[in-house]
Amino acid sequence: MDTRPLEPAGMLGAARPAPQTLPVRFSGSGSEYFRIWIVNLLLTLVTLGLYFPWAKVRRLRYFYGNTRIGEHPLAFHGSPSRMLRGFLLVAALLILYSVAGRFSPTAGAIAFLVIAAIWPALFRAGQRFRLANTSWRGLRFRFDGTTAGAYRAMLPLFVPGALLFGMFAAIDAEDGRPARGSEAWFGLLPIALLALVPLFWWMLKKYQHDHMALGVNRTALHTGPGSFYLVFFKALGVSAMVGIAGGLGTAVVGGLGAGLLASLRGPSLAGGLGAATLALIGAVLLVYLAAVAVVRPFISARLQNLVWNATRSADIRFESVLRFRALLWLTMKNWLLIVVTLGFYWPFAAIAMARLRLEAVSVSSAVDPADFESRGRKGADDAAGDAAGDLFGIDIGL
Amino acid sequence: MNVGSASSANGALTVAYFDGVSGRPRPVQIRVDNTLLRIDGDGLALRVALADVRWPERTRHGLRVAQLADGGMLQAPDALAWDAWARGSGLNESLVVKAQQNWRATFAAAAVLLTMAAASYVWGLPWLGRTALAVLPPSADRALGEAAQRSLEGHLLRPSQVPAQRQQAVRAAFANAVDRANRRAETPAQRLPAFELNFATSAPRPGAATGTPRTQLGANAFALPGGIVYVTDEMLELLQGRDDVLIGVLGHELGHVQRRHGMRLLVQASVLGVVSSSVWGDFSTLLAAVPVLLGQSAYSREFEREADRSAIELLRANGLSPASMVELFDRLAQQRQALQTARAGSGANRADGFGAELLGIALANHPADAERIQAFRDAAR
Repeated sequence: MDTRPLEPAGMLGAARPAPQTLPVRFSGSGSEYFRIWIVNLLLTLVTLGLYFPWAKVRRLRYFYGNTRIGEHPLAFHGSPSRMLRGFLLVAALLILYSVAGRFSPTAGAIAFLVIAAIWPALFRAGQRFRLANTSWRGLRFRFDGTTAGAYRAMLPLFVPGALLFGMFAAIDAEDGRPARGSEAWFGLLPIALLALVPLFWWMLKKYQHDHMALGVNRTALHTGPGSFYLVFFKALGVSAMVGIAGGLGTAVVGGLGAGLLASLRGPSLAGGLGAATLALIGAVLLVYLAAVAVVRPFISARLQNLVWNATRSADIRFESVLRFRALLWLTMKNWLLIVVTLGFYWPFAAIAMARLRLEAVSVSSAVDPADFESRGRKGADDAAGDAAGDLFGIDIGL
Repeated sequence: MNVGSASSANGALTVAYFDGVSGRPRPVQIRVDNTLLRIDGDGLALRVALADVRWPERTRHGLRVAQLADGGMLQAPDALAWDAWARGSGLNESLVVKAQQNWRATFAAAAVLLTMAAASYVWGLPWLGRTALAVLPPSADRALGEAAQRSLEGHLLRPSQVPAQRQQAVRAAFANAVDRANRRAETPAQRLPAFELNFATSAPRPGAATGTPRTQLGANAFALPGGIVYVTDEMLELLQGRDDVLIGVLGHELGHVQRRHGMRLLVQASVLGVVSSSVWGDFSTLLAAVPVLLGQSAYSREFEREADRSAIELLRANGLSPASMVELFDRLAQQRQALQTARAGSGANRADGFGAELLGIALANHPADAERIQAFRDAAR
């Protein structure tokens, strides 16, 4: 974690005031968001989904308006009617995609290729839309990444995908049997894919964080892929630890449980073994879930800190001190309460999560933010990309 | 720097104004004058139509920010003063905001939501499924069925060991029965669709212990959308000497095809999936899949009852008693019993059956045998 003392960016400007540190505070409340959520949900269902963009704007305005950087909140300016068009376009795309795959593998593959081909452009449009419609102190943010840059950033995703795709196409041609020698490929491919994941994270974050701008300040991500690989390997270590701990626990509990079951169902060695098999399957599932539940918060805490601590512009720096343990406990608590309340806790969970993640961040500026000036506003209102982020489950987020 | 401190006096409120170009707030006085919002401050006199302002929503937390069409904005750190000013100036808030701020309205919305969810599950979703069927051409069913067939033949199914002669005889008998029933059909909807009857056996269960079925599917029959019907060798063996029961079984499967149950399930599962993921999806896709899985079993029970009715019609049209179907359940029960005895004898793999029973309770996708037997008996009277 980057905890170096902050230095003023411009040492020459003697007249400049001392750097200001602006804490991020989140004042959203779970009970209030619950009411917004339930009314939104009702209207969305009554209108068969058409209200979704309005609901989304309402939600974003609540979250942004309650996020204060220093003493000023963020504001969201997106227009719901314009977002509706993007939403419908992407929804149609998604429906085509999910339907195509059910009829024939070829149609599914073509739909997949089409989506893959336009995905980076949609992603970039989504970034532009989101930032262009976000303001602080009346100043709009900008995203000035290019479309070509988006395709370059997603390249690591395309190479293995294309490889995999070509291989499946080759198999189909030969009456369903893989060609000789290709088994080894099948074993290596997932490993190769996994090894590319941190590189992909880095390229994507680099693309996002190199092109965010407010006034004359444009951020850049000052870290290489190495630090992402470090987070990745630590995450592997954490999941291995969870696996080992879970495995030991399973052995003890499973053994006891199997013994108990066997004694209930008559003393038979075979019966005991059968019960043990059943218990084992359940335990493996539980350990898998535990690993996911632990590793996901680990990765998101470490990545948030890594990315924001390395993001700077000429006058602005960020600091993020999100603790893994805090995020882990909150995730577990949220999961439990959401399941227990049959989903009704969800808005409370969303607020608690936003508070923890946002309040871990602070911003420092070498100049008085009141001196920030916008460089004129440009219309960047392609809402399709934003909708794509929603429907395909990719969190574009700030 | 506390420019935004608000005070309300004679219809004016002091707030901070940002012009959208500079990050520096300027104190201004705002006042509503008929259809105009007047913004006055140091060297500033703006007139904005009320309709061009995006007003903030009243919330318990956070400050108030009003967005102006030209990119400027007004910011009031004192939310209460703003709300009092807005009320005093006659600015109406939307029904949605009123509902959001009112617990009673919120609970009413939750109640309506739950009622709607229940109603759409009971009536809406099946209606949507049937409507989608009216739009989807039968060729879609065939394409779907053929895709499913290809994947089944590649993995689960093996070539049948039943002699071609016997296969031909069953095919002919069933085709005759369907023809006879269709001649008696009064409306096109009652006609049983064209079918393709296939014989197959399923892949052996690797290392199946004594007292468990030897193959993956055991004695079984199933239909794919578009009219592809399968019956396993084990089913033919089980129903030896009772071709009338076999007709009933195949009639049940053709009933699924006739009512396009496969397509309906697909449509309904997709809709349920979209709804469930739009409610909880941003939290967890795993959680969103649960309602889809559980929601389907109730529908498929209904589908089994409908298919049983088709079987009854077919048997009646051929002068056979629907009660003969009881024989199927008897023989299946006998087979289960025999397997259990064998298992007890060898002492093997008790938990296997135990697990299957548990699963049978959790995912009850066939109505209880007793209920179905009763329906066939009643039909025979």
